[in-house]
Amino acid sequence: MVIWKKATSLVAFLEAYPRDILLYRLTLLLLVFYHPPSWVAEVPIRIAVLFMFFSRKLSRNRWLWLIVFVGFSIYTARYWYNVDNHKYLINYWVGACFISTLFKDRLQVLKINAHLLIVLTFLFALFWKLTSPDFLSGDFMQYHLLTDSRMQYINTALVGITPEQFLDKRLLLQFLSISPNLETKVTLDSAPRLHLVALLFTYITLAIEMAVLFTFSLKKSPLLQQVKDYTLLLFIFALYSVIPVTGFGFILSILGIAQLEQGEKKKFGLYFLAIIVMQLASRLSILDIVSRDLSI
Amino acid sequence: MNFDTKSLFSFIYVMPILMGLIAVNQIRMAKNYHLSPWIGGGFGMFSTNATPDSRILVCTGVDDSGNEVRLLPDFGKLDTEKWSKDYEIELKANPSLDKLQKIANALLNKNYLQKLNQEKQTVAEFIGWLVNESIYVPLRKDNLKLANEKMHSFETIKASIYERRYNANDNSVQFFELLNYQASK
Repeated sequence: MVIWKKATSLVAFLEAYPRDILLYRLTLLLLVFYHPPSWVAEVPIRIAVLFMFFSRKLSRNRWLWLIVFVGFSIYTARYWYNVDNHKYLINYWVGACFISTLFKDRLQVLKINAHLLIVLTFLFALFWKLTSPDFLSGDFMQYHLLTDSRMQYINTALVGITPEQFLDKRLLLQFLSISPNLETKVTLDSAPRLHLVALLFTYITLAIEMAVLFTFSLKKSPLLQQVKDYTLLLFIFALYSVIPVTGFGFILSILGIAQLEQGEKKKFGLYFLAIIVMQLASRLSILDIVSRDLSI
Repeated sequence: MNFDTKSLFSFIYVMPILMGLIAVNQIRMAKNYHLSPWIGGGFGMFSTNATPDSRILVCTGVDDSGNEVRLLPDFGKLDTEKWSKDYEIELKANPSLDKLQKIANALLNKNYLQKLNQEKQTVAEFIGWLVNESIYVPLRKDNLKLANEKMHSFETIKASIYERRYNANDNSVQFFELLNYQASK
């Protein structure tokens, strides 16, 4: 009970904190944890952090945000073919942080950008899923259930394929990939529930992403405005439970907080909780818990 | 000086507009060329099995007798061309005939030594197999070969990108050729 009270008072404190400063600093934390692996992006981030964390005024400094944005953008442009999509999203958000510092109403600029970036992320993600030759049929999910080590525990728990079978087939695929030929075919293990589970995961993913896009797009419906953040939170938590892409969960949580109205304490607290859960996910995923690999 | 949101209103939307433009261009490149949907800022991750990792660069040498052997495309030794440090990663994400042509021509200029395919052997041992397969490794300079080693050269080089594809009907995985380029002396 004491812990709950402390947690709620902490959430209340953070919720009342100047929102633009909070967002700038959360973004910097994200950049410190998940900066691109190149000096061109890393050095500006390190310099900016030194100043921004000790002064509110410097947190809003447009020149510091500009060097971070330019450094990150150079990296993204140079390695565009090897940069994950969520890093593009972080790059756009850093750009939005810089642009917001040019305006008097910084929070309004951040709010508009966060909302649009969420809508566009899910719009394009859904476009790809709906036009992909192997997503709606369940083939994509089926293949990942059979070969992606991050989904092995789901495979074992729901489909019934043993970890040993899973490992054997992964080794065979690795063997085939070292010097591949066009004749050899590797037949994967199957089980009666495999396709059903794959279809279930396919359509749950699709339903959650559609719900996020739908609720965030229709701004005039008061009901959808009430539930939109819960759909995004559901996506973030579901993402953690299946494939912990920590940086993606973190940036979505920041965008979620950025587009909230002042006073939405419960949603604010849940987004913060999501950020904490994401940190756990980076080192203690459900996969680790299920496979009991808790070594330090 | 800070601007009013109404005075530079359209500037507020620069990032979402940029995001839209990059994503539309990524869709164009992935649908019309061979860019992997996972890559390039179009948010096509987790939508298809055509990941960059599903693609492999396969280089083959054909000798005078028409025999085909596997070559190791070791870019560090192909010094007739300049390579970015992650050329192969870029090639897998966004393969093109130009890139394959550059590789094939660079391989054509080199002489090779026959070696055991150690990487394949290691995985084979994990499975419990013994595979004494050869791979031909390019020599950076011909005078680097040992006296007892035989040097090989090839009249024709094929550089291909294979893509691993899953067939749900028979639950199998097989490689298919996505692109190939052939260079001859």
